[in-house]
Amino acid sequence: MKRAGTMFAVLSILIGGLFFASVFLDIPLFKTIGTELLLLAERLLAALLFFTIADTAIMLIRKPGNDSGMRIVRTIGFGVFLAILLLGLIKGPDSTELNHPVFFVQQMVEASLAGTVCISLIFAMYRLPGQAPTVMKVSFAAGLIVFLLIYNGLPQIANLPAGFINVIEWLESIPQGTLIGLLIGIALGGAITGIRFLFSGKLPAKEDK
Amino acid sequence: MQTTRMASVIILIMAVIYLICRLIGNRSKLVGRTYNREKDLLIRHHIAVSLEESAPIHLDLGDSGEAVLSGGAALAAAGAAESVSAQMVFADEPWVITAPGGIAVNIQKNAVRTGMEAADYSSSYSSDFGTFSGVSPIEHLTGNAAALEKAPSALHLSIGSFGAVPALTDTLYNEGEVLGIGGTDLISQAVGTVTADAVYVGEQYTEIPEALDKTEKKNSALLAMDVMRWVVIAAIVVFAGFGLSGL
Repeated sequence: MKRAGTMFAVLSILIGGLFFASVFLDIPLFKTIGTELLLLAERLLAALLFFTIADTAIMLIRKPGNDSGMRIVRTIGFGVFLAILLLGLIKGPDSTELNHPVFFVQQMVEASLAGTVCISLIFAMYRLPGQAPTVMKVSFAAGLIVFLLIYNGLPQIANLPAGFINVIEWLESIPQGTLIGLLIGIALGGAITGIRFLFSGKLPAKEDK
Repeated sequence: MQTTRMASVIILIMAVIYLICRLIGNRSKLVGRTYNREKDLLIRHHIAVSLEESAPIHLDLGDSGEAVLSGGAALAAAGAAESVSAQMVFADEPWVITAPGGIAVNIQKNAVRTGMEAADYSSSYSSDFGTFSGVSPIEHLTGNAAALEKAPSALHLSIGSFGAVPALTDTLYNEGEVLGIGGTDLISQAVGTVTADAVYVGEQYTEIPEALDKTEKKNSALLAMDVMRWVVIAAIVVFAGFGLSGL
């Protein structure tokens, strides 16, 4: 097991080194190796997706669930999976006969979900004042009120002085910055977890105890 | 290629920072990290409630595609599974893991086994720990509802990309059931802010494995993350300053 871990680490370092060499060195051989490595990774991921689909199908057949609720969910899930697979095999993956019904059903479910989510969120907002206030929840509620006021057109009707308009324009730019900040955070989190896993070969909770 | 080069530079910087933190981390007095934020205490409290009241804990991984195998959320969820399993070896009620695919379930099961081995109770391991609960977020929700219909859980901890589904999850669970979310997409983080009891925003989802365990640890990856956080904040402030001054 330890030997396999060492081999995995050596292989990872080798591949990583070759890839970084292809990025930073302008040598045609390394450029080709870098492109081929990316292509290989894409193909491996595509193959992995097939394994995941097969694995999911096998799991649905072998473990239909211990209770009635799970059995119903999994039977319906497996039925839909089989129907789409058969339609895809008969009509081809790009045919409108396959894509139209699949996307139609998907859109219906997503529209229903979006509607229910709106109701659930309004209900959650209604319950919010009754909950223990946290910085996040208070900021969320305050942000919601401010942006509802900004985007409902009131500032345009109210004929506000130029100073206020500048403040509103500045406020309007905040969501974009916040969004980018969150995405940077999520990406950095993923990268550092990956680096930690590569270097330590252990799951996060095991390291440095 | 320019973007790849930039991303490679950032990853290399992060790797170097991580290695430096790894080298000095355990010796430095500066890195005694404990997680005693309100949300961490709440989650740990409900792990204790679970043990006392025999109410199960539910850990949910919500990524899909290849991210479910090697993405940050999958690794954080595996770390969380390991951390919880080490604490739940004496639990009367088996706790539940739901994940969007058989391979993902097996990775989580492996993490559970590792956690139990770490606590010297590998004999408590059962193969019934993981449950496949649907690949798409909505299928995942119905799968979870079916998997958890037996008894109210003390804690639901969801890590990954769930879209707007946490809004529905909130209505699905009972009043006393605590919901924690470590979202890796923007919608689940926004929805989680109003519906969840504990929300891990942005990169905080990587802190969940540590936050679950009350023993004090020094973790070089999280220290590196803190360093990167300040580097990014400094970069934003500097460039915003340049922008405002017209340079």
